[in-house]
Amino acid sequence: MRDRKAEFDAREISIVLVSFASPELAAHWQEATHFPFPLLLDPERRAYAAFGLGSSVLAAWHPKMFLYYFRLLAKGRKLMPVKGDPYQLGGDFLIDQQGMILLAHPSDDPADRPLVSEILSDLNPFRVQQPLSL
Amino acid sequence: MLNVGSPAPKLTLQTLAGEPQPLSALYEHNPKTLLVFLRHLG
Repeated sequence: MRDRKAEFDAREISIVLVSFASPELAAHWQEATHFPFPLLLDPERRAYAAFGLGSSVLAAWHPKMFLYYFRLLAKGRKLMPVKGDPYQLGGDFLIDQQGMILLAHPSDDPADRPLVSEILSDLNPFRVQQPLSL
Repeated sequence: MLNVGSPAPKLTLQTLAGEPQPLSALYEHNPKTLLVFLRHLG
């Protein structure tokens, strides 16, 4: 996502990160990672709950997670010690200027994220944004 | 569960400085806003 920031900028998509970490940890993380996006906090996880993001021990320890982390390490990614609830799941939500959800992707497991191309393609005005109904 | 076409919930986040940040203030000032809910930091 960081590597494709220009594509999001070109489509006028502002990216905002949300974390349930403490302000101190979040500030340290932001300084260490240099992510070019604003980071907001939800320490009581009210927003996580409102967006339907739960936690799952089984998902966090799913065998495919070992492969996921192995691939990260193979790419040279430095993993930091886990601080906070390791079982909280994340998610990605695209919202328009009127506050309507254009894309909802609550993660089924820690490695489950939408493709960048999937997010960008949802901006195609000719694509049906809502589920079809009879 | 929020689905496509649902209104975003009305809630308030916090800045790193502890200031309240209404979610609506994020999307009302941008054509599109991608909220990325992170797992643990690490």
